[in-house]
Amino acid sequence: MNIINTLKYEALHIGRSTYKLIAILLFLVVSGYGLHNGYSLYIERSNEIATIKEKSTELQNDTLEWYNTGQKGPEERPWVDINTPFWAMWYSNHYVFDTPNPLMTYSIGQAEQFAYYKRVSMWSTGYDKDLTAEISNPERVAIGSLDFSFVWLFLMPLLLIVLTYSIHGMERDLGFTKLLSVQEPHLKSWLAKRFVAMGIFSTLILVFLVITSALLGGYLGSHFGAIMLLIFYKFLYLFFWLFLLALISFYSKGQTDAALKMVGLWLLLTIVLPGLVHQYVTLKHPPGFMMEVINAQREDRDKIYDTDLDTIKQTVFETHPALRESKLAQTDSLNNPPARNGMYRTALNLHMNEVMNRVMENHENRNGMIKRTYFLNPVMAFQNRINAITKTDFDTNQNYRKRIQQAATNINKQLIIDEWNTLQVDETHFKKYQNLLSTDE
Amino acid sequence: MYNIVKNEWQALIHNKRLTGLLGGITLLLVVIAYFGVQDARIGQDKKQQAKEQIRQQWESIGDYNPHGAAHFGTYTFKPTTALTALDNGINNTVGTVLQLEGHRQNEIIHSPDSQSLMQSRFGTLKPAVVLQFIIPLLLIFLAFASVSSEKEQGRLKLLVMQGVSTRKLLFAKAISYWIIGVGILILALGIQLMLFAGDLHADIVYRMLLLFLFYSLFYWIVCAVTVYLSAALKNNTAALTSMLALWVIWAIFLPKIAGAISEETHPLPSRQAFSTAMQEDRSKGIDGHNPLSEQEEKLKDSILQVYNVETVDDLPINFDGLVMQADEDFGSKVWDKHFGALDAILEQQKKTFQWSGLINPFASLQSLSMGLAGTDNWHHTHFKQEAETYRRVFIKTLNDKHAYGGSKTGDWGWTTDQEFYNSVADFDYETPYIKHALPVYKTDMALMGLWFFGSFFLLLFGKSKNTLS
Repeated sequence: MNIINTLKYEALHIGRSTYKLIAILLFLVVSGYGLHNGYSLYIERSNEIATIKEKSTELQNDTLEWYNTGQKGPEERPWVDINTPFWAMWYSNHYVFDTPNPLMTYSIGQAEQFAYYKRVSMWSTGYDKDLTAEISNPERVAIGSLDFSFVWLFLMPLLLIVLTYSIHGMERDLGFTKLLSVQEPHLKSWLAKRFVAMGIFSTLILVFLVITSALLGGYLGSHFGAIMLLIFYKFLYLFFWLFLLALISFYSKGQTDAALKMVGLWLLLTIVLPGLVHQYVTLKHPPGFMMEVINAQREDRDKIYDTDLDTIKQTVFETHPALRESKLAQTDSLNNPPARNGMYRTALNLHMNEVMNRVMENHENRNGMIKRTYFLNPVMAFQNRINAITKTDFDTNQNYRKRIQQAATNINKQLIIDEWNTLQVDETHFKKYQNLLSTDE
Repeated sequence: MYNIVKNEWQALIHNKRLTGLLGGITLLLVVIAYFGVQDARIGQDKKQQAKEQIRQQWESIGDYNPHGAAHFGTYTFKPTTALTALDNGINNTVGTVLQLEGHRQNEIIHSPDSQSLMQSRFGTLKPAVVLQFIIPLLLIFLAFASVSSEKEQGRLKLLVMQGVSTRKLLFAKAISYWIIGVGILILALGIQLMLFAGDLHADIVYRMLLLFLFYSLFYWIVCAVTVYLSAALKNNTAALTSMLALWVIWAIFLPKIAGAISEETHPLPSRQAFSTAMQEDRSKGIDGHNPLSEQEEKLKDSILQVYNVETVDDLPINFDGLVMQADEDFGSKVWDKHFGALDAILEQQKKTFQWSGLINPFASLQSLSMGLAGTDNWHHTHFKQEAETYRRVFIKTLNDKHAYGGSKTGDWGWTTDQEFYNSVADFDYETPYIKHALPVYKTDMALMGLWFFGSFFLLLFGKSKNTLS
């Protein structure tokens, strides 16, 4: 029997089984729900960012108005002087966003655990305490969200089990195995065709769901490459499962035996192995309390502020050589508290950059171990790959933290240069401050 | 009935595949219980080290201005209990570090899951994962053919002809598999007891007894429903596939749906909206670092009246300390209002989720398991509230020192010595007794009881034309 006929008969077979039809229908409903959940989160976050940007622009416009009217700051805060670099920079109201990707529709991944917007100032770091995830119910997050990647990576194999456990098993139960040879001389080829038919049906469902949702969301063109990559990985995953299930089917003694083994395999690959690897990695690289960051913000900070200005100056000048040419660098005695404070603040920022690198290195070690266990934990390997494509993985968040840290460094650099040149900030300069991070998004 | 149970066990012993599976799961349980305990110990040690380091920093702060010390603040770390090794609950998804400082109430940050790539979607393999997901599946595998194979082989009619009632038969079959589940449960809890023998106290024992009770009830429900379906459906395959479908719906599908529904019916505010509302309320009160606020003027007038002086410079105390405390008192009211409302929404969500236990006993079990292990949101919130209570006392102590310690208004350079800072007690958190948490779980307990009796009556009165066919 050729593959077209196999497809036809498999379709007829599924059509006659109410149980299998219900399973497919349920799978489609859940897939739709998963896509809806992911897309809703994308829209929610995009709207939230739009609101923040709107508010931020309002504040910036208020500040511009102060320059026009000669006002130095808000009336209730008379100590504010927006003509000084410090306050002008403060009122520039900089934000760094982890702009959500519409592909979040296909995998929420780890996005719910991370913050996606932050107001960045000269004091900010990539591990600030205000970098907290969106408010959510921790018990719901622990149970996990029903997104499309969960449906495809965890529920799709169950659907395949429902569709395939009877292949070969039923023939064995009814004693028809030998009759099969009349139809098809090679059992393996007969089995392969039936599994490939299931693979084709599932691929059609996948392509239909992904392409339709991308068309409805209006991002098919802009993210075509990533969507194709996503389909490719899900297709690979589908055939990975079909291969394993076909093996079980080939060696099984009947439908019950096949069902038991298939569900056992599902349990092993989706719950037991990921859970064991998780436990093993946790034992080898226990998650910390970010003591490096805490110590840097307490002990190290005090040490920096206790160091004499000349030593601090030397370190900061090495990193920002433009400062050597500044107005205050030419004078012997420094009687300018903002410039003095700015030097210490910049030194602290540079130190925080080093601490951030160390923390990220620790994370990398942990992630390296997770990646090395992928051969034992294939389901999570696929999950992380999909999360990477949809930009909802840990690495995307690390990059976001790095951008925050870089933004703080850029702010500090501009600020210290202007402070050491005793700049009087006017409207033009303020606009430059506003655009300082525009390439960061 | 005893003979039927004995026969079932004998048949099981002779089935090498099932005994192998049983042995494998038991071994897995022992290994992960050991790993779980090691993990909990490493976590506790790390927490202790971090706690000591933070205290050491506090005790070497030296001569410091009390308000500066309030900004320096302290840190506390989310505690774990002996039962964390059994059920990790929400611990991987919530933060572990909380900074306690003046002027603001921070969030608990740095959750373990946010520190690495995704590793699993059902959490670390703790005994609870095995007891919730794998043991019920094992019981299904053991019991699905219990009656259907008797039917297929024609032994059922023979048994009935010998005078065994079908009710008795179904009960005996269900009991024989249920005892296996309970045996594994005893083993799992026993390992925890042995490995954590040093940390045991009465409350942990009560919690473990309740865990034993509810897991046992759940296993009974699984065994009874499986045996019933085995009797009611045509053959082994139909019984197995129906029960597997039910397991997938209960354990994988419905909890996620119920979680999503609970969030949609009781929506939480966005962090931005929440912070803005809090800031708005906060701006109506006194701001410790803004001497020009109207509220501060009012406070100043009242204090000057009390001390009967003209200006704050004439006060025998430091007015700045009083302003800081007024700022704190107001901030605390705002915090109580907004976080109270947030916690109320979370409570509503919890209740909605709990009602899903009406169609899903697994949801009740999962909820009870993390509640009894002390790894649920109720315990997390309790820790957060206790930490906030401590923060208020901690900051008030510093503000009082600032106000009444001997300095004068505006003297921000004034410092107090290390002895004073050493006298400020550290935060020691005690996990609440289970009796305080139980009211939160009455719905889960009631529904679990309902399912237990329901499954009991199902075996007793459930009718099916297929039973003897």
